[in-house]
Amino acid sequence: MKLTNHIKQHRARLDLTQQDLAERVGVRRQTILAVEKGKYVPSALLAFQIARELGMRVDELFELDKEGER
Amino acid sequence: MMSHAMGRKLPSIDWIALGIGVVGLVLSRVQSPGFGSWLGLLGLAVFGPPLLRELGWLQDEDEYVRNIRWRAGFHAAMFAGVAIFLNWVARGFYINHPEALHQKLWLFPMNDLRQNLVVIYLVSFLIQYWGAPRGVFRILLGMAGVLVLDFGMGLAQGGNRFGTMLLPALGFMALFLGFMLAGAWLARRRPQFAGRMILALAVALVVLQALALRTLPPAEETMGWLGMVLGMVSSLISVGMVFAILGGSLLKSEGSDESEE
Repeated sequence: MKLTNHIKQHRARLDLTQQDLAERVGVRRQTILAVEKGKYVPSALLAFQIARELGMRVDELFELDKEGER
Repeated sequence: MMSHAMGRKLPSIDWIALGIGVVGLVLSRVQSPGFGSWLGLLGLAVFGPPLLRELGWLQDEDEYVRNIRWRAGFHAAMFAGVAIFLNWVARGFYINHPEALHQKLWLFPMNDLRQNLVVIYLVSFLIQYWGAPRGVFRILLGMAGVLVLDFGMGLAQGGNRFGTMLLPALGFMALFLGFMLAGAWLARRRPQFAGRMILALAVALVVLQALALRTLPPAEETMGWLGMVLGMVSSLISVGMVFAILGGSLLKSEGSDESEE
């Protein structure tokens, strides 16, 4: 199963850099990069923090890919 | 709860650790050729801050960094397992050379094993933290710097006799250095190609070392000879393994550089 996300698009919509978002949620930029790239699945706590900063719900920001739903 | 911001800069303790590590690395090369006892400072630098974090005395890392730190530790532990296994595989050699056992001349002496654990942990952590292209680029530049420092110290400390002995190796070192710098440059631009090139370099090191071993006269199997053979095989595995990790991580990476904003 793979978790995809739309962080990059919503971050761009708000004109936030990875560094800006990282500072807002209290993590390093590499962490945001790894989550965006799908290399790291964040904890529920971090997922909620990111979603809150981007003004989204967690289920709008993260979703299981089509393959994962089968 | 991650309540404080961790900006682009490293926390101050990591800067202190980096300073201690660099001093330890330089002193280990300057004080004695090869890994000297000063490398202990590198161990302190690499494992000191994580130890404080693991004990909960330092709470400045986020969940992703903790995750890759644990993975790097796991990789180091796997290496230790492989090294112990290789010592067991080499038992036939020790049966034929029981004097090596008496002198505790192991394929992976404990000192080498400890130093390799530090190196594997560090390489694994940095590649995961920076991403393969940027990580390999910086690690190869660091290794090239250590190589130049080693060679320079050898020439400076050894006097004319040692210097004359090292001069024939100058061509080989220049070639090796050229490969490392080319690998570093390509790692961020063409990671797949650089990965294959670095893996080829790892294989070439194995072949060259094997050829060097074949040139040793078997009739002179003294303790010095045994120590040299085991030392060569051990360093070959260590250096070859680091290159294999660097090359393999580049082959697995996606894109030319993972550090986009």
